[in-house]
Amino acid sequence: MRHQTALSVVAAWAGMYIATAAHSDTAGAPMSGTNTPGMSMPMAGQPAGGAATREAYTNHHAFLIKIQSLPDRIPFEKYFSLRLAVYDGRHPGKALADAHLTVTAGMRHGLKVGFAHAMQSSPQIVATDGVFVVSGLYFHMAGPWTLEVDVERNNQRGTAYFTLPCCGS
Amino acid sequence: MHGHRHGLAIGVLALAHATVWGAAQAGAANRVDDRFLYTPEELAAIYRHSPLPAVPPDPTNAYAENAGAARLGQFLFFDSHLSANGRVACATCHQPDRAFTDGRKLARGIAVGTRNAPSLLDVAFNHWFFWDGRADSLWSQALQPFENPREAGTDRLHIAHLIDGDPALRGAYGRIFGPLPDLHDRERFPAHARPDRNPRLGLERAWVGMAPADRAAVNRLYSNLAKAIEAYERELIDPGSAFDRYVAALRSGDSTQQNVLSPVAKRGLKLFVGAGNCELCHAGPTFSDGQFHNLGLPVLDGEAADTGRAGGLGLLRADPFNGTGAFSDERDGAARSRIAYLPAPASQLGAFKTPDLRNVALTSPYMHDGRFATLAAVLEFYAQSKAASHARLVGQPETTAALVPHLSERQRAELVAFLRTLTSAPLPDWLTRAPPRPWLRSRRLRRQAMKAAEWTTQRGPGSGRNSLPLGK
Repeated sequence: MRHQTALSVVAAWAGMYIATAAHSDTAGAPMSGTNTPGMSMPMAGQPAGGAATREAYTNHHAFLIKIQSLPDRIPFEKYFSLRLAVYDGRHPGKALADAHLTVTAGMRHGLKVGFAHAMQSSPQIVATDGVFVVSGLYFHMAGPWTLEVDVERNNQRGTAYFTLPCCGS
Repeated sequence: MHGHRHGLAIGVLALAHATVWGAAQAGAANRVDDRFLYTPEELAAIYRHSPLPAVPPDPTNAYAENAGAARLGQFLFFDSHLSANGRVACATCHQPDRAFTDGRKLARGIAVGTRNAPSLLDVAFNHWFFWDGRADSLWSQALQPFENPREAGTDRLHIAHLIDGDPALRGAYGRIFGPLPDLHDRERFPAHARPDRNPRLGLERAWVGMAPADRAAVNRLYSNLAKAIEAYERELIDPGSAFDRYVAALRSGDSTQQNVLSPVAKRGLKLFVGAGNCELCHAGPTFSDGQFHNLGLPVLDGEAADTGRAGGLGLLRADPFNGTGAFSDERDGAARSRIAYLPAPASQLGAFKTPDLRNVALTSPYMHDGRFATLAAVLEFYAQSKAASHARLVGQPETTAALVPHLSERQRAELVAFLRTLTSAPLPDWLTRAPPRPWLRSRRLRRQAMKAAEWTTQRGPGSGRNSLPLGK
């Protein structure tokens, strides 16, 4: 009987230990910064905590992309939009209204390069006066998504990465 | 030094983990709360799997919650008259006693089809229908097997005349949808006609020979019948499984009820929501992300390559019964976005819909072509083989499947043990057979309608039915 009680205490302690260790991992997962494609991501089932990245440079700092608006809480399994602006990476005050953008998204699930699975929708982009409205984004899984923005202007190209947490779970 | 500390931590963690499992398995006398068996993330994932939420609405079907439509739909579901040979019904491939599958590798109606028959249990939670997603609503899905030459093999004019020629069905239809169009002029409404790619059958010629308004009237009737079938199929919600009871016990902290799962099944669950990475596709209450994935399944010898959703996308866009079409009851809402933002076909080559795993132990064989006879064989694919390098593949396999780690034989057995806990209690008997013919406004039928109302009310606030026209 005493043995069982002791075992229960150990088990409870161990459970707490596991919980604490896992929580620390999650809290320490890189959720921001993001010009690096090789960032480490939490695996499935982890909470989608953390803030969305709001601005990022493309490779070689050619362009700076800013997310001007984003839903406070990205909706789960519903289409949503965001607004982007593009700036000259070396002169960040200079907006580039004539840039050409394409946007994809996916989840990395720990991969260094590429997506484990991509977003299964084709977002559309409408550019008006330097504001790029991206509609048709759709996240079907909780966790950190990576938004990949490809910019092209005057034969210069670059890609910026944003981390968008889905969906407040 | 840091590495040593890290190694020590892992060691302690492993010891602690083993101790917890040991304690949990020492017997119910310990009554260790199982919540300690899982990390917070695993526990969150478990909670996302249960319970099933209320059935989501389908605004493209104004009759989705109509109990009279559901009973008519149930009648049609089991009616083999709506087929070319009079022997094939929806229930031929979706048999209630097999979790609404048929147990065959490939579905067989008039002839053998090209894909495995999926379960209809909990089908109302799907976003897309068919393995290739070529339908965006349950009612538009229900239309296609009627005219598929390998399934029911009939045509919409034949069905329209069958309904019109049966006073009881005509009456039941009229009470729900309004009167049928006058189909008596066979010059305007031939006995058989449908859009058809085979010019030799004459069905296409007969169809295009009809006036556009007459074609629209038949399409309206035809789509209404499918909306009735959807109303029935929306009631096929599994009543809960051992897993659901376990999750309820976890939520409440009632450790005495947590022994509803065996220790082996619990280890399988932990693997499923954690290190096994099964959650990457099999997430949420139905254990499906509702999306499409190319797992790298090689083309089997003797089988044609199946393009999966890449082909389904074109069919969906061209379907006059899709959510943006004239027969949808909400063309401008979410349905329009869903069509507008469909992914590029090239990205979906060889991708098939993630199946629901509730009741998966009852729905063998598995995969879109039924290639795996057992759950163990499916897990062997994930755990070991993946796509062989020399295999003939369709499209580019995504990385998700490769993220499933190597699984030992024991781990696979644990996963299978867990998957078996997803088998639900049976549906009420009255939902699993043809109801009385719709025109019999008998006491029995009224009782059945009352049961239906009770059943759907139990499923949650979003599942209540409208008034029951059968009682009028």
